[in-house]
Amino acid sequence: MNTLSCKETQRLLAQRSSGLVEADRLRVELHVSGCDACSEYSTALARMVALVDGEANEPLSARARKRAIVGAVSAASDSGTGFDLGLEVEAQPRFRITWQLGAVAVAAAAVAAFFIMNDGDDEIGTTAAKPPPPGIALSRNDAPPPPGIALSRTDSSAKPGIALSRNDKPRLLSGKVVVAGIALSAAGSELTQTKGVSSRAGAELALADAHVVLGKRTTIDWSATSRRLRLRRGRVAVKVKSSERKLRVITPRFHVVVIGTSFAVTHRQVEVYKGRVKVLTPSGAVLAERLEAGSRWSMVPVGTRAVAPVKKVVDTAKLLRQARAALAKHQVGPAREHLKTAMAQRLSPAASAEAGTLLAEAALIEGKLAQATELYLRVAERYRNLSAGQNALYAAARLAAKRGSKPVARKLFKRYLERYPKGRFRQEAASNLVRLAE
Amino acid sequence: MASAEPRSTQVDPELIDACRRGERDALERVLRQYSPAIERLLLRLAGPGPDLEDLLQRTMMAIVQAFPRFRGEAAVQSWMMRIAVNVVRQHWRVPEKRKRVKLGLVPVDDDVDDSPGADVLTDQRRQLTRLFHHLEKIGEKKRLAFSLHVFEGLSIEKVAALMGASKAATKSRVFWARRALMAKAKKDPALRPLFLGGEAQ
Repeated sequence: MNTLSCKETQRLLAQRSSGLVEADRLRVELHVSGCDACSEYSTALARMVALVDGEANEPLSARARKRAIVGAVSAASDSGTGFDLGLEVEAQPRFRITWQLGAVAVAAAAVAAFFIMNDGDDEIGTTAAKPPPPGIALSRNDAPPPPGIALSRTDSSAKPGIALSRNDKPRLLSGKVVVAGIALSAAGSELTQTKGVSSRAGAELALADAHVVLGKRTTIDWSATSRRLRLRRGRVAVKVKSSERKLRVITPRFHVVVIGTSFAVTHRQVEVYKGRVKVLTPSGAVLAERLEAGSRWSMVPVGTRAVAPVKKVVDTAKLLRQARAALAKHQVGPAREHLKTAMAQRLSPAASAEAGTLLAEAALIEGKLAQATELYLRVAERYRNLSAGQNALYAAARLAAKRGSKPVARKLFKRYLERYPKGRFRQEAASNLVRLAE
Repeated sequence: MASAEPRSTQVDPELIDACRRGERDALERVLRQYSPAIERLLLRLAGPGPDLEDLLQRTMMAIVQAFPRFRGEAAVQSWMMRIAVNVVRQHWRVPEKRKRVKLGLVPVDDDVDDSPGADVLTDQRRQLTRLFHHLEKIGEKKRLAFSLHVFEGLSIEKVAALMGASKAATKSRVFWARRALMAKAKKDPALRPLFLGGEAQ
């Protein structure tokens, strides 16, 4: 039932409980009762708020307050009606002058620094700059090279401002590869030979504008001139920028033409994460014209004709995540859509239980308490060995109590205690039972 | 806990007109009516201390001076709160050394206070000082968004409107302030009792 993450719970806790709707309050309560970190957080926050609201935060005396009011009115009346402060409070004149002088001084210093720096760097057309964050702006002229990437100066005819460009020689970015019997493991090492580059445990390479991750026991050949990457064995994941000259990944049975994307290739399968690719036979016949992001294409077994069954990969975990996020925003409709799609797939028991719980929460948010109780009970009975089942039973009991159906609530709390004598809500269930008996 | 906001229509329009004209009696009446709410807001934002009276007076002055331009489109209290928030922000921007010397929160005569609960109150004051000390270390915008949302109990939308920021930015500010404050408070021995395991005061 802990469909609220700790982050969401803490966000909701930051609102005072009066600002929470009933469904959220129940969800927060359930999460907090089962999460030590959030429980501690909740207590601390409540105590902080109480401290700020408490008598230690002494208000002014009535006399001081009166003094402030009378003083303000008198001061304003004495100064005439030229009220021009608006929402701002007037700065002290001395401060204003100091600030202006300071601003002039800073501007002068900046101009001087600009001239000094330009004077020394004109010849190579670079200016001092911070190093770029990793993975960004490898070709920017004003950035020093990141470790492992060589920068070479271009000829003098290059435009000012792009004097330095990235050396696009193939390089090892991380991991270990063996090329022509020589092992390379230093990040940034240049690959002098690109035929038979093999990796036993995985490695990352920079090949022209492509970032290539070699899987375990993978061997590739790379040709920079034809921009072809031959996958001899194993698996590669490729991320490439859109470029005029298309990169091609070659396997014995098919070729993959890249149209600006990231994807993974084995000898049997292509999986596209972003952008799109085209799959061809070695002779050039089209196997899959457009393989879009999220799609997977597989070869049929050897001996039969290769066809292109384009199957949409449904990420159920992602769908459940999206449903949860939608519910956190009280968007019941989209949440239901995600859940419907997810439940149409084969789900693991845990995922299925979570989907059921989310459906119950959707009903709860809509205020359909009876339906929510029923859905919780369904999860509780079907997945009684999972923690989701345990949570759902407790939630159903709480909801029944909230709806005022005492006999049902009592029965459910009893069932909870019988079924989970060491359950996480045993204390709450016991105290609720006592309360209901009264 | 969010303060109820009386609409401007609930205040006598003639009284507001008189305030716009700068009539002393009318101004005093309106300010007296709203001063508890403003003071509560200032307390929650700036904490207790010698600056509070000064802040209240500056807020009142700003309100009096801005009244001729009050169009009555917003609730009087919301408008005043916005002024108070701006005064507090201005106050936070003044370098510490230019502010008044803090004299401490515990009055001298508390030393001889042997009434029941005096110890608890002293502890709470110490905790409160530490809490606001940690809040001061958080960036102005984050601190303000956090205090308005968590201590004052305003919704994210209202805080965003008060600060002239987007809802997303306000949410993010509250999140980071919350995180920073919790991290600092957890390490502070004086604030340990606020966390589980510690005894609540």
